[in-house]
Amino acid sequence: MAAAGEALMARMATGDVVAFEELLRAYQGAAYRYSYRIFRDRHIAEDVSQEFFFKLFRNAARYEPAGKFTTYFYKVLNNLCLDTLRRMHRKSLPDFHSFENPVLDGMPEAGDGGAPDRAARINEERRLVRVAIDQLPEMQRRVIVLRELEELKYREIAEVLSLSLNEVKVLIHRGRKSLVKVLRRSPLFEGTES
Amino acid sequence: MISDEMRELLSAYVDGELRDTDAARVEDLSKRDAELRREIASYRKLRKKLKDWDEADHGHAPPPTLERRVLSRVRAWVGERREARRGRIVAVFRHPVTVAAALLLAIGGGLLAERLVPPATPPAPVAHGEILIEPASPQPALAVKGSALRRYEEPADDYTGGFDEIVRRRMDSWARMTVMLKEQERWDRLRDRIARAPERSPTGEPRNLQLLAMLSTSEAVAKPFESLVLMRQPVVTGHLPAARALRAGTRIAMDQNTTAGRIYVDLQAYRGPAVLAPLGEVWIGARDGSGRTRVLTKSDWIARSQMVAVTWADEISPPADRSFDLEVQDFILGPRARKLLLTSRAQDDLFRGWLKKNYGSANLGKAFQRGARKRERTLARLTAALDRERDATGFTFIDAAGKLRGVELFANHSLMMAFAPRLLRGYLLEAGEKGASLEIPSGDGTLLKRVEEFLESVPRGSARLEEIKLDDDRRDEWPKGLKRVHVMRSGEIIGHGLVDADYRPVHVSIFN
Repeated sequence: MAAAGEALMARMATGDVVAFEELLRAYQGAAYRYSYRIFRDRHIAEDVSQEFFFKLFRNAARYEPAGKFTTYFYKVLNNLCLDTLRRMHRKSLPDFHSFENPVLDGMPEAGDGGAPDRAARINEERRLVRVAIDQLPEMQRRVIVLRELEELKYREIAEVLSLSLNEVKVLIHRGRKSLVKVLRRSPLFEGTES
Repeated sequence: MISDEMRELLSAYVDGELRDTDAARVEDLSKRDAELRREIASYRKLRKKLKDWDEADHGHAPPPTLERRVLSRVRAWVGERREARRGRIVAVFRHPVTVAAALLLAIGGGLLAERLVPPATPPAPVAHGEILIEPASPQPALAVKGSALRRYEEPADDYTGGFDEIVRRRMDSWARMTVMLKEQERWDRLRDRIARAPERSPTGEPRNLQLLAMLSTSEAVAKPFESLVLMRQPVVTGHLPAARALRAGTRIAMDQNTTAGRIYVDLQAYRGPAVLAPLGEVWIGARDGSGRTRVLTKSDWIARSQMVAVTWADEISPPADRSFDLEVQDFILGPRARKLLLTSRAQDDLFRGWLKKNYGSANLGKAFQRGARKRERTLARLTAALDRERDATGFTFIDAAGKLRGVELFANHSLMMAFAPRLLRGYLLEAGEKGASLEIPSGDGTLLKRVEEFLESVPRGSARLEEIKLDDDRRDEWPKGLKRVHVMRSGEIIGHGLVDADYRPVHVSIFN
């Protein structure tokens, strides 16, 4: 996929809209999910994703395929998210609690076989995870999101967030340590087999 | 009790980001330490929980409106840009004075061209179906042609035949484009002149080298075409005489009264810009082609009619008639010259004029700052383009003695059109400086033999080489800064290779 991204960018640099359509279809999910994780608001995530892809097309000629396309992708997207946050006069990431998801929080998961206990337990677990992530300092949270959810390599995270490799290692370690610490307070985490 | 350092290691271990030795160390320790095992398990469990949460929370697809919104915005933007371009052209010709001036210029230019070049053969008809579709070119000169120029079909690269033939083919293909640019007549005249030129000029340069010289100096093609062949042509040259043909400007007479190692330069006959010799950047060659050397000048530049002492950098045996070709036709700037010139003051009016014409300012510092910035930007864009363009190509510069003087590469990219000549000239010299260290053992065999000897001496089988070989099909992943070059002999490509940023060959192979 990464190689395809680079090739598509090269075509886009020459004004190829068809290439852009391909790229959009391949990566819109990733861009939208990442934005949603940052803003926790579907409308903002959609707006940011739209702006991001437009920017990607407009600046395609400046793209230098020095590393993996995904790294470039997340770097630009991350910067755009930061800019948007600044414009929204927010000094830190939005409070995750302020965007409660009534569907996920209040209803059992589809396919859970209607077992209310289990559904409640799962929901509680998810709430716990979200709270734990929410409590992380901003940079740790970003690093954890990029590593655990976007599955970027350390080197790529370093590039996306303009950090050194060592800083990434330390941040991931600290983030995990904090998460485990919070989650261990819950019997759910300790009791569930991995 | 697990230390913080160990936890850090564990975290990286779970992610598979540890070096083998560290990973083995963690595994070894975890076999003996139950607490460590629990810690690893908890990190793995955490990863799974996060994943589960993520899938439940964010697993939904992006809204269908996203794609629609993005595409409509991009299409609108593309349309606006096209309109704006078209609008600019139309606006220029809407004004009666502009139209009149354009007509006068066209008539004047035509008359002048008529005097300069022999009568032309009628322009070749343009085949239908070749025209149309706007080229994806960022260069306005091509993009603005609107409906007249929609698509230029670049012919497939054909490297068969000698250099002369390749150039001719290229000229033909570009000649078709000139129809669209309304330059067919001029182009045909030039082509006709080249076709009728004798195999060798009175001064001994082969016809193809004359061709190159004409292309790079002829005013008739200077504007739109000076770089065409150099740019689009996959192979420029592999000969020292090409540099002479392109750059030979005047004669240097050795002063009989000077001691060995010093000569004076007489620039009476020189018609180019007054500035000739950026410090340390002049190459001179004996007229009979017996050798060449770089000389270090004692001044920053040489004004016309000025006698300036130059000192040999390397000794050569001067020929009997003691006359040389100076390999400077244009302002050639290497890194050292640039540095020195930036700290010097321009005194020469002609030089100032030349600076203003070429760099937009007569102030030396400003001019070169502008030039340097422009060059830097261009190089950055070109580098990016080269990384993208799979058919980037280049050449090695091997002189008549078989020395590898340097390498250069080109991309089949429209960006090259505007900047190739300057880059070519600058780079030849810069590369030449570095290339000089790649000297091959002298021998009495043919040039091919010497070139092959050189190529044989290129280190092979290194880890880096293997890596490149493995990645050959995935050009995008080549190490940054590596460039592909062609190896040439007598105007023909005989192989290809890769060089690093310092022009050191990393991998070279010769075709069977």
